[in-house]
Amino acid sequence: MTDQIATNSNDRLRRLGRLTLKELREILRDRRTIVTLLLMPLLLYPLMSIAFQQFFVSQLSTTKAPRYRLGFENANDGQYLARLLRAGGANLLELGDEQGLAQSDPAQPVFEVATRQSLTEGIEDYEIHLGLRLTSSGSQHYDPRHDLTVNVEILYLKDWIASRDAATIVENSLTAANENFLAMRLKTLGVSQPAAPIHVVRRTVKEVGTATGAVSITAVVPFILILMTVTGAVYPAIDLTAGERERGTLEILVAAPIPRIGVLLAKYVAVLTVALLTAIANLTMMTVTVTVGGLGRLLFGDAGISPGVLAAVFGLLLLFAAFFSAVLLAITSSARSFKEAQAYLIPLMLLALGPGVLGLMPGVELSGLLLVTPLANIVLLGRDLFALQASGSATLIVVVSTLLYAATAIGVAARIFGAESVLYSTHSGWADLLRRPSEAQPAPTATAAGVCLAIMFPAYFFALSAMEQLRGDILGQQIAGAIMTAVIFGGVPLAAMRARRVPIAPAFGLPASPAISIGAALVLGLSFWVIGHEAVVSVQQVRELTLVPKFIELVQEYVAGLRNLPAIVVVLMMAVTPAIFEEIFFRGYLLPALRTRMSPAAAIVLSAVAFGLFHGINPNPLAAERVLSSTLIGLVLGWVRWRTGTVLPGIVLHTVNNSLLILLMYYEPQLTSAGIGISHEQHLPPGWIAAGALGVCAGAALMFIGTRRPAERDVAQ
Amino acid sequence: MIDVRGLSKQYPLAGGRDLTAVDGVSFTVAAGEVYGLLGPNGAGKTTTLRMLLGLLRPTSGCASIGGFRSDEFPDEVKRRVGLVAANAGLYQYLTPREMLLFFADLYGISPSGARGELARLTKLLGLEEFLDRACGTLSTGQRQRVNLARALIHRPPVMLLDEPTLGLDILGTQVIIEFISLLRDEGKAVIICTHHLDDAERMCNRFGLMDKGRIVAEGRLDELRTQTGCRSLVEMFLKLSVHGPALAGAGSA
Repeated sequence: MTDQIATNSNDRLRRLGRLTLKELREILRDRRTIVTLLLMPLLLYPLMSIAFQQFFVSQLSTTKAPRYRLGFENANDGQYLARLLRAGGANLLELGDEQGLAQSDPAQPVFEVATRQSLTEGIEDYEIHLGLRLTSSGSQHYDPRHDLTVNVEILYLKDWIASRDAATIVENSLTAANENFLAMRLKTLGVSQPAAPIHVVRRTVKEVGTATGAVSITAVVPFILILMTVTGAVYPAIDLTAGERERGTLEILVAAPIPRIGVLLAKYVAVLTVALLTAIANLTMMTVTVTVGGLGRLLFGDAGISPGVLAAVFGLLLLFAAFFSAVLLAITSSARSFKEAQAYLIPLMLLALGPGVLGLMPGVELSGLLLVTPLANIVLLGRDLFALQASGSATLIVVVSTLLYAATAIGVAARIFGAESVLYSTHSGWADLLRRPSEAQPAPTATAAGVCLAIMFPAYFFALSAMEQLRGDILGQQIAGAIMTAVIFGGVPLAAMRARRVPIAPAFGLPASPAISIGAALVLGLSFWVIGHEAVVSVQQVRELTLVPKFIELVQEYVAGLRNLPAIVVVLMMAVTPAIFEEIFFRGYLLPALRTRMSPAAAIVLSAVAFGLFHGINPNPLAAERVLSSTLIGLVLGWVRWRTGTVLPGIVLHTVNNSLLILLMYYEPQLTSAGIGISHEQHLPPGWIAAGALGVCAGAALMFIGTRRPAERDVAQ
Repeated sequence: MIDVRGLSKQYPLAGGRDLTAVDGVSFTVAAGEVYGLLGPNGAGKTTTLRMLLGLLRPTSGCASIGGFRSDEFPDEVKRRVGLVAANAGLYQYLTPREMLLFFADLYGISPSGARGELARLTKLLGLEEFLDRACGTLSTGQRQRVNLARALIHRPPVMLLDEPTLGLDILGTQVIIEFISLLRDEGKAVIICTHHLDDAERMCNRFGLMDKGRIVAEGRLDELRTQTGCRSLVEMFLKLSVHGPALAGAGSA
């Protein structure tokens, strides 16, 4: 049976490959694809580079010094003032002073001297930035041969920023020169005290953080790349679905004896491939443009774009393309013509721009709701990747939520694609999606399970974040947690089963549950916590996680709060309730749904991974440690469900395992004083590990012997 | 080979009413028989074919091919049927060779088997001169020949042809007529839907005249003549149709 499944899987894969090849051949021979794929990036990035230079870089660049033109009534005044400033040690950098320019800071302003009969007119005509009129106390014009002091009148235009800046610089230089002259005179008189006790230094801050910038440049780049990837995917998505229907090839395709999902997956892979080719073309052109044009250093620092960042951004584009291609197919599959598909996609594009632009806003952090908001999470993750600030847990949540959304979109597309209502009627194809089956269904479908997961993942995340608000009210938090678990893990799948007419008792393998399997589950539950504990400690050691004292304090406070509640309440809320409802979803609903599409082993592994990941999404920094241990127990629970055909032994195993862990934590002070305390950061003694492993083996053997062969009664049946 | 029993299809309309597209249609087609399902546009011919192939779910009744019910075993039915749909298109950027091999693959034909069948059909339908040209550049007649080859690439025992002479000139029509007689000689069960009654007389050996979703008369041409007292299929239609003489004005739109 396993061989047959393997052969069927290989056949399916080969056929998927051939179908994809045909779709790609067709789409890549179309000149319109080549235009979006190659020509657009070839033209776009050099043009964008010029635009950046014009509108952004001139603002950001610190390499180009401002130039000011200073006007004097005659050339002598200019020369005299320059000499005076030099003598005062505060000379202005003048155009033509090659040596001075070479030695100076490139950002230092440069001045050019000009003569104008009317300084006022010169400024008003924007010919000179400043007018400098030199007079003496007694006469209109200053004469250095007679006059001891000189009055420098600075004329400037108030509304002209450059004029104001030049006036400030010149005035400061003159003040500095005056101070220096005063100091020299005092020195001559033998006074050793400094003439100006206050010395002010003003520096320009070159590095502007993303939080204070107008628009984060590092977020613009992923946003543009994402937009370009969308451009690449849109045309093939329309052409391979609505276009196919319009050309009359869809009917002959669905008249062939192949599953609709197979045809759709081939189209999905083809759209994804074109989207990725577009992404690669865009990424390459962008890299070449910014490197050659010198923008790379400006945007990404002295190191430019590193290969690591490029690889990470490509991974991000792959993720985005996987998501967006699926969404596009779900939408275009319901269209009956090219034009109709385009009309459907316009609102999608506008909708997509919203979170995308939000991601460009300064000061927006990739956290909370944004972690699971489609597109915005990818744009923000892209920005953080470029800025080398992406965190592991945020990346995990973004990747998992996006892949779930993509899987759901493919499931939706598979229901709509080639459906009767899309193929032949004028009614909306979405009606097929919402139609309730007329007859009872033997098992939940993988598509419905995908939709459930996509709803549950963000819902669970929000619920956990909301529960953080109840900190301080420990009982309230426990009750809210139990209700949340029941609603999300129980309510969502049960509602889905009701909507799809899947009878609950047979799907969960109720009420059959041999007594021996319950006994075996008890043994497994009593011993598996040892393996779980070891997995958590091992992951902690690999991650070299060091917890901040504040967090440890919070955890201790929380545990102390729990100890104020009766043990039975804590066990009911934290061990029994999750055990029941998680089993209802993961082993009662998800596993049979996956089983309709794959082998038992693959279904068990996939459901266990989903189980593990759900335990990883938690604001608690220790949550990531639980992914491995939860996946491991998920494998055992999946195997037990497959072996026994019911969810009851799994619920027993899960409850016992959870209860033991909770009670060990609850009675930790008592256990420690009795000399058998267990640290959450240290491995157990070898004897304990051996006993646990022995218990797991004994439980598994008992389960194996005490249950019928699963082939006789599959979970999907 | 083909067994249709009490097949009906209703579409819900706005306001809660239903549109009956096919109303209790029953007929059988044996191997080596060409059955003409004739009637004006909107008579329900194409809907009947689609239900027969499992592309549409019947509201009531059932259809089976080779003993497989199309609503229960659609893949088994599809494996046994070659469909030439009325508005079937071709993949513009593929060549007929690529397209035919692709469809052979969809029907599970081995690559060597597919190449052999391609060679046979190329010769039979005269595809040599445009076998490696992009389908988008072919004429209507050439396209229809590629479509016939596509429907036959998996050697199905049953052929369903919906308006096979649509848009063809006299020569093109003649090719199709000769080809259908070849299919009959090969022992295939063939259903042809058409409103070109003259062509149907030359192609089919039994007829089901449809109007308003019902079969209003059925039999061989001589049997129909005896039943109706009319000489040609056109006269029979004008007499039997609930539209009466207005049918003549409906043309073939």
